[in-house]
Amino acid sequence: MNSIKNIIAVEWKNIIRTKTAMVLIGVFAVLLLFSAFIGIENKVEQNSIRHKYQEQVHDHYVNQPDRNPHRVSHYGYLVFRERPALSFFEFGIESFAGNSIFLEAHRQNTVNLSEAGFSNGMLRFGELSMALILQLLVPLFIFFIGYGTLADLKSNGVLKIMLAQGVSAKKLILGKTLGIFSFTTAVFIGALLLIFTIAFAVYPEELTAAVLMRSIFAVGLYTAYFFICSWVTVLISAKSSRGGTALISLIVMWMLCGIILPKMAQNVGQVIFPSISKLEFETHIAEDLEQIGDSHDPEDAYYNTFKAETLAEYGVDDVKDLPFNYVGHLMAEGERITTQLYRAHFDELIDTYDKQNSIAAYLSFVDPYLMLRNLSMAVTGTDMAHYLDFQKQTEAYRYEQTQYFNELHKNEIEAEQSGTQRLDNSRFKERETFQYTKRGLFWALSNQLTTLLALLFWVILIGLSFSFGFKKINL
Amino acid sequence: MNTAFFRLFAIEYKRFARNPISILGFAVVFTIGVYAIFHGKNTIAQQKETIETIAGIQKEELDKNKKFFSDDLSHFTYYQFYYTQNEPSKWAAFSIGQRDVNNYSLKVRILAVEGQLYDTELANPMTLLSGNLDLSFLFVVLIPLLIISLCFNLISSERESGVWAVVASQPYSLSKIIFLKFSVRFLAVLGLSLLLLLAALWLLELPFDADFGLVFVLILGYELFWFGLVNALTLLKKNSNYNAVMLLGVWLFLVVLLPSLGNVLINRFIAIPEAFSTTVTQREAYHEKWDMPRREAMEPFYDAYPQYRQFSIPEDIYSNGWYYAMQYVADKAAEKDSKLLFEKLKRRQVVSKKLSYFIPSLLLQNTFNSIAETDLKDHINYLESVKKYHKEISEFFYPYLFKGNSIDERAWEDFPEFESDSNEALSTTPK
Repeated sequence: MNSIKNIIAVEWKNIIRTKTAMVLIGVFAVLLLFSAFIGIENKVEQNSIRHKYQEQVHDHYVNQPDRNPHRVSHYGYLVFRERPALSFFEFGIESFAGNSIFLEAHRQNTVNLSEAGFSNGMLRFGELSMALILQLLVPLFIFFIGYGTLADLKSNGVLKIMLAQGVSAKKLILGKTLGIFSFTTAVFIGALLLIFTIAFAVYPEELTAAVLMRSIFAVGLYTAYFFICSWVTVLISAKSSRGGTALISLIVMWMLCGIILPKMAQNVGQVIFPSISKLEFETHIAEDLEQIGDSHDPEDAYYNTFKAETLAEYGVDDVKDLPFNYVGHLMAEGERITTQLYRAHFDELIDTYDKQNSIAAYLSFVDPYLMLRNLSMAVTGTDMAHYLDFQKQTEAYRYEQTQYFNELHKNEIEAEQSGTQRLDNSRFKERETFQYTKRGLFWALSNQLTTLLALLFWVILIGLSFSFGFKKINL
Repeated sequence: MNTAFFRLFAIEYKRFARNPISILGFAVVFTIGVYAIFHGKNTIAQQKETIETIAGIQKEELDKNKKFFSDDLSHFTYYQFYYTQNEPSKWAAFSIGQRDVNNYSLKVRILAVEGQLYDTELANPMTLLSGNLDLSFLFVVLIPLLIISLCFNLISSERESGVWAVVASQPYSLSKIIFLKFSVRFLAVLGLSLLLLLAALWLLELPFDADFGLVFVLILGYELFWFGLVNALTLLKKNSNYNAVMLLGVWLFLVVLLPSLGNVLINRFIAIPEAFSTTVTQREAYHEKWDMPRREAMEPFYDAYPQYRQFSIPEDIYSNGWYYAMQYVADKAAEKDSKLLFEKLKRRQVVSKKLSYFIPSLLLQNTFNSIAETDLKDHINYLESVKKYHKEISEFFYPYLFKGNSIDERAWEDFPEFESDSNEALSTTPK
């Protein structure tokens, strides 16, 4: 009679009979739908604005007049960052990430115009997204429907009777956990699937194979999270003598894991691994550059050697006698050196950021919220790794493009009219403009190995608890 | 009656002070508070440190370039950056606001300014997302949680344990007892707040002035609001568990959901595609001028600065006047969008202020940020002062660039200086 199936059924009946639980489901459903609506609308709207300007920039680029190649590398190219497909569900760092970057010769510009920069600070309270509701509100729902599940049975004496009837503690805990978990999953993962289905039915062009894989993983991830929350709830309920104590313990845990620890982790990371300001960053590069040489300085030792070597290689005495335009050759060398330096310093900076973020990754072993948040951002393409990947791709394109123009300068521009001679615009048009290469699920996960390990840890911990733990419940 | 009241007060206080849960709550919030003070202090100290290096870097670069390009003003002005800074106010460490997001040390060349205003400060986006754990966060977000945890079961637990029946049989009015229980907790929370404020006054070297008074009054009002809210809910005579969940829901609604809803509405109804269009327009306008007849391309510049019409501009070869006039023309082309962008940003600020009259958490945070000069308004002021400075420097160089390609040493004495305080720069006349 007291099979696990029965325990689950009883649990469902109890939840459905709780009026407050039903009210909460109603409120959350409205919130979910609302945030789905604004999430989708915002993403579509933002991307359409960005596409519009990207197209303008592209049209201007391919319709440019005949120009000197160095003019074209200063004309450069503007790239607008497209918001990832699943960013309607999880915002991640989207609002804090820059949205446009200007790619030109000599300079690595920052990605500018983030939404946070144009906000008066309201968004610092948190952003209403479907992910926020599932990450922070649904656990509260689980706590509410589950805090008394064993503690109440304890205080009214029913538990004693059940145990005496021979129901094992393990079966009870497993059944209760499954009951709460299955109910929550049915309601909220159900809603999630429904919203995803509608969203992709309305915008089928968004649903690529990679996005589908990512969506499936996201759904699995949130399901696992709900299981962890249910398990914790039943465990705390089993340890508590009264329902009230269980509820308070759960709420305190929620505040710690969901509000205080995430903030603390980032703040502490910043203290332990201090990062440098933009001014310092640029100063460091300038200092290193000074160590090597300045291509504008006629007395500069490095570039004089470079010149001598070039002359020797071609067996001539003057740059005028070289078979190519020396200016283009020199610019290519300058670009190579500054780019090399910039990339080394940029990698160093990112290394510091990674170290700062590692605190949150390690805390995922004790804080399931952090585990979920990190993986959710990774899988929806809204984490730092994706943002950096965008920056690296634009930088690679910038360098390749600039060196192509330098090559044209070297080989096709007469030395006597280095600054004025124009080349036919077909030479620029034929170049492909920047296209961001989208990443797949496995790439996304490969950036979050520590957190992935934390997920594995939670799964194993829960598995072990049912295999070896729960011999009895303290009454 | 009065002595009886005080005796009851003393008893209630003792009960409260001995309760391990309340001791723990206070200890946790106090510890976070101390951490928050140091976090704010550190963050702002780092920014100050960066700002302090600016003068040295500026001088070094100027000296180097002046020497290097001594007979080539055009290259000097092309390579030379002019540094500006948005100094933090004394309150910035109390409420860091948007200072971690926005650039506080912009540098500009006398090239088109629109492309130079939005350079991002380098920051870990995950840290920006998590936000700062400063004192303003503690007062806006954590203190309400402390109040809830102290009071959610204040009456209901006694009712549940049966003590309330005993209390009710006493010859005191119940409302007075409820009032007494709440006031004990209120005074304790207020005491903690005052303690943290005084610690901040000392450690952050805050000025003891009207702003301090305003901050204190706002915190007092905010805490009264939360105690009132909790009190109102306990009067509904629901059980402790219901109260806990309900109050947490109310907290989430007031501190997270409502402000974020306001944010969504503001972004939706005051959308700013101008941020992108300014960038695109300025760049296009500049580069198309290269392929136009020189004087025609410079026409908008001549409209603003007719005194430079007299200088001849050679066609087909580079000239300083033409090159730097084109920078002006590019900014001029983007002016309409740029102005609209700033107007919209100001409107965002105004709407947010209006919304805050209905959302207490937002009112508190907005006022803190406004006092600390760490809000969007302050940043727009800063951007405007950078624009103004850019104009001053450009106008300083125009005569020399049009007349030739050099500048005499004595002229540097009149070189404009950036006025460091963004707010003062707008309100006071130059020295």
